[in-house]
Amino acid sequence: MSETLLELRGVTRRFGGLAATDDVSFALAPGELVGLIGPNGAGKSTLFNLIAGALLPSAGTIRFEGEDVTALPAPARCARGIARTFQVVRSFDSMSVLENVVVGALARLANPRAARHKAHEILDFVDLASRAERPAGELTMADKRRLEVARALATEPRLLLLDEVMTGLTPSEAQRGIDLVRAIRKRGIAILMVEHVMEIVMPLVDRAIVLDLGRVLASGRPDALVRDPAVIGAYLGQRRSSSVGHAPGA
Amino acid sequence: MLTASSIAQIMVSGLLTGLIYALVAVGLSLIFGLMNVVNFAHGEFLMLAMYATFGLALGLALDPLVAVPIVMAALFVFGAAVYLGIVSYAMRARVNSGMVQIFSTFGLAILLRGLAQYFLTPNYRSIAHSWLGSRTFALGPIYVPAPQLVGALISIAAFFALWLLITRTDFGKAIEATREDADAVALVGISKNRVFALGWGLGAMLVGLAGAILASFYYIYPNVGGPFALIAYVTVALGGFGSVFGALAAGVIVGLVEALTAVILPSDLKEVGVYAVYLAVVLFRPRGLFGSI
Amino acid sequence: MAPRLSDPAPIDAISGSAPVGGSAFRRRRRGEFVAAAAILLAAAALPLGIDSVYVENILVLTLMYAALSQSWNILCGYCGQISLGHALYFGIGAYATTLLLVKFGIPPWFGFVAGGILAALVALALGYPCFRLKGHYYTIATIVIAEIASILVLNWPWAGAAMGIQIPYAQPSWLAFQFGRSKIPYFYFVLALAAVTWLATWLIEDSKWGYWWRAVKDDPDAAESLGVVVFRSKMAAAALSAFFTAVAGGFYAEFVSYIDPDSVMNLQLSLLMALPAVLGGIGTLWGPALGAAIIVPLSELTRSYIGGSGKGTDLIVYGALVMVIVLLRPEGLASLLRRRPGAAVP
Repeated sequence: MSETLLELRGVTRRFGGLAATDDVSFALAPGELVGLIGPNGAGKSTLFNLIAGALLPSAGTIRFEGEDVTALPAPARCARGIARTFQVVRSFDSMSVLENVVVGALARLANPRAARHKAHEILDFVDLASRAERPAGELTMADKRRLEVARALATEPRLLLLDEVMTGLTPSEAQRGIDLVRAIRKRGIAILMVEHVMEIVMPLVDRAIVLDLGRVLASGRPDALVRDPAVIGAYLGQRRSSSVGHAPGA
Repeated sequence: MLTASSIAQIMVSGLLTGLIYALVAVGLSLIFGLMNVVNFAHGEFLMLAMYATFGLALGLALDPLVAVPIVMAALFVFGAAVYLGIVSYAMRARVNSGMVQIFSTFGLAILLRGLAQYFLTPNYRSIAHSWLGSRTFALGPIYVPAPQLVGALISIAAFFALWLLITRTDFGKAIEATREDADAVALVGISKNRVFALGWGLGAMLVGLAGAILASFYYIYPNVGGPFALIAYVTVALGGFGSVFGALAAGVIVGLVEALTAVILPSDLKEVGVYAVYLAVVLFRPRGLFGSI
Repeated sequence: MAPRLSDPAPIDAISGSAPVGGSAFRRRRRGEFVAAAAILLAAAALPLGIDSVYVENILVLTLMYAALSQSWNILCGYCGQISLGHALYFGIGAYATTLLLVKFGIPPWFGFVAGGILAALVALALGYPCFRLKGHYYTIATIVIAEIASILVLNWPWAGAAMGIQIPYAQPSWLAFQFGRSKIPYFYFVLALAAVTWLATWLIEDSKWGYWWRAVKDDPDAAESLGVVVFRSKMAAAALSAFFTAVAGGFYAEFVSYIDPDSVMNLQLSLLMALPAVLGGIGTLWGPALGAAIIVPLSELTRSYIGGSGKGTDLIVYGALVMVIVLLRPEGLASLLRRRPGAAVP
């Protein structure tokens, strides 16, 4: 069993003539907390979709826990232990908050009663238990994000892909979000998170990967990256630092 | 005996019919493209237009060609009224909005059929005397009945006018904008409700035109909308929901396929060819030929 | 076991007692089942107090549409693929049962099951190409396929073509599924069928498939990210729905003793299978039965008392009623009974 959880080699995804993801290679170790950053249009969401199986690469390979998962579609990747949230929240609005999480739990448990029990635990963990009965559509944005995370956690992933979960949150909501991410990490789940909000991402992650125009520009510890001239250059024209509440992009 | 000229005759006939099918279908496609609603009473709009034309011919001795503008105007008003009175409520449904639209217009269709049957009896009607009447043009060895030919030409003209409307006028731009983002257009001063109502009026007006044309050579009865509606739905889906050009192309294809199928198979099987073509097309292009939605 | 987020540090604590409302959920489920059993018993007692063949006929039709609409609901209400071509399966059931009986002497009970299985297989075969279609394209494909089948049967002499097939009279018996003049046994059969479809829905509501179908209906991409294989889910729903629809079709053939494409395979029938569910509430447990209980007697009564003159008044009333109900209560009449849609599984 290798020490690498996720490994991308030369992953490329073309749309027509344009390569949204271009020869991307990197690796994640189990339990790592890694940020994926880059200016708007860098291809972060495309990369997420490629890892999650919502898109298949035009070239390259993706290995998860030593297994080649490149050709597997999203449900099979979830079964292998990759879970994700969506940038635009996609809750099952005809169901309650609890039922939403049950859907996730059913990925591992065949019995709905056991799945409901587990869903309750997860809702406790993310602090949504008081909302369990409410229709999912009624939640606030911050709670909906939380629900997405809970749903993904219910599938017992070893890698969790978080797509801009902090965007558009107030400072106190963001703080709770950070606490949640840390708590998930303590459970031993590796996290790859896309974020725009530098003040949040940089202090949080072990290391970060910078994407620009679909390619990996740099990768390393956050304090080194913020001083890297190439990284700064990529962000010039966008902004040098962002503020909380910045609109989502890329 | 199948000769080259008889095949040509069949194809011309199919083409002309197809152009009229296209006209019946385009109103449906327009409304769908604008607001994602399928009008299940579309066939009944056609039926009403046919009866109106018949009524004008009977009561005021108006030739169908003359009646066309009147019927179009009447259907325009009717279409807008249906939107304002019924569909706007259906669209407010938070749940199952797709089914609510379908079945509220389905209820309307039945209501309209019942009203037609009540007030106008189930008897088959036809317009006995019209200017185009039973004149036939001869193009070489091919005979083309005047009403069908004129109808097809009007249909082409209507599509051209529609194209101009959508691409060259402010109203057309408003339609495009509302189609792209119905909630955002309020920010630029466009009333979504007004655009939708006008869109329904326009769609109804187009099918009203088709009905006025058809009335001059087709039997008119309360359930006449049914078969036309089915062909219209298949045509719209084949061409791609929301695509005006798709409705035109698909209409022509449907007309031709129907005519050719009638040669090979017994005539009551002629729709099978059309249905088979639809299934074959969506197998490879799940959004129809030109659909983007 | 599950540390709370607001805890200062993860504590090795147990997250409280049994899930909040867990027993409330079980109570609700039991309540539904008990209510259904009570209704079943009450319905079973109905024939004792009724003498009129006309009323018995309405009851049979109401129950049949309840069963049909409940079956339709499984695919379309829970799984979200709106089919308006279910008359295909009804016709398969009707024709399979009739042909097996008339041509091969096979008793109707086998015919019901054979028709059901055949319909399920057809549904699976059609699902392959059709489920990649979205929204209205799918719906129109279902309409078109049913129409093709109807036209084909119309031109198939062995199956009776346009003339249809008459089921010959047989000595009344449960084996032959004929009962002379009495409609009562038919009533009990179709009551059982309606009960079975209700039970299937009830079991689905708290099953893995049920959750998955609703997820697929709400957001297929999100469902996929949670491990739901969308395609397989839809196939299962389609097969189940087709099976019950066909059994009802076989029943209907025996009930009226005569079938032809126009009566068992037409588009109007497909719409009428969906209508009770829409009126009563798509994707709900009681919706289809409630909708059938309202619309079928109403349609029969208006047709008999108002429509006989051929003036179309029954259509006016029927059409207006459908519009009014659908517009006033888009989530269905069942929502008047209890919880709001999409709420509370504790």
